[in-house]
Amino acid sequence: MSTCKFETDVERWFDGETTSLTNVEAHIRECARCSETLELLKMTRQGVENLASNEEIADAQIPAFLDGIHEGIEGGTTTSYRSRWAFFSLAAAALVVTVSSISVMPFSPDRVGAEVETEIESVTTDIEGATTESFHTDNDTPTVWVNLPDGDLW
Amino acid sequence: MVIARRYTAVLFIAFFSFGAWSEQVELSMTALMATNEGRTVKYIDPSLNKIRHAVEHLDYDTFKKLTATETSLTYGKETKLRINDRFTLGLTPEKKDSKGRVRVHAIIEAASSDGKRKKKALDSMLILAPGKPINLAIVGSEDGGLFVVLVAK
Repeated sequence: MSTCKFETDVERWFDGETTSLTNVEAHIRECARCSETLELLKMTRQGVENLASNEEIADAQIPAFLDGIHEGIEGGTTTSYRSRWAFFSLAAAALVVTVSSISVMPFSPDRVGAEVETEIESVTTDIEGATTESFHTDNDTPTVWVNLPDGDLW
Repeated sequence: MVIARRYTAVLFIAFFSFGAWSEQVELSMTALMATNEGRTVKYIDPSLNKIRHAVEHLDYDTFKKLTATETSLTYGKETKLRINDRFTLGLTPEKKDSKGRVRVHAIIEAASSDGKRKKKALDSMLILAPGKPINLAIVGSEDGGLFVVLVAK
């Protein structure tokens, strides 16, 4: 690593102090090492200055700042309502599809491949003397049979 | 958002319309007179072809249609179907079971000749399997009787 005996003088000159070197600028133009040192010093100073500067909101800027916050809140609410409507629409569509499927598709275990039969639970008559019975005909058709007595029902 | 609301409204209308539609029971009713007229070959009215298999085994030789109708029944509500001047059929679907069968309360009401008095000639609780016919018979003598064939869809 190369060095230059005038580096300290360059640093002092950069800080505005007096140095033993009479023409610092001429030396820096001729000495690569001191030129590098000067660039490094400039960058360091600039970095320190940037860290030291604070962004402040002036009083006049506060209304505009608050307006921005309000817009953000209102915009978010609209999006939220849209999301809710989209959700309810999707839920409603899913409900319609589900109910339709349940009603139309024979997925119930009882209905898959099972032969369902018509049944007669009960049979009665209010006609005096009439008899009732239920049976299946020769071709297995369930039949409810009421035998009326001879003569008029009344 | 307006479009979303409209879309949701349409979906709900469709859903409830479907619900109302699904509470209906589609059913066909065919009423006929079966008699013995001394025929050597059974006569079955051609208009009874759809339910021929449900009655052709009965011990009668002549089958003539009285009336036929296809109707929508509403659960819990009685629907009355006229058979002829004397008989009326009342049907009240109660519920559908897990096999897709419909429990139906069926009443055949008989009116006196002057129409002033009525009696339940038949009062029955049926469980109708879709597409399977059932016979309701009111038989007065060996010479003939009234038959009502019901088929739920």
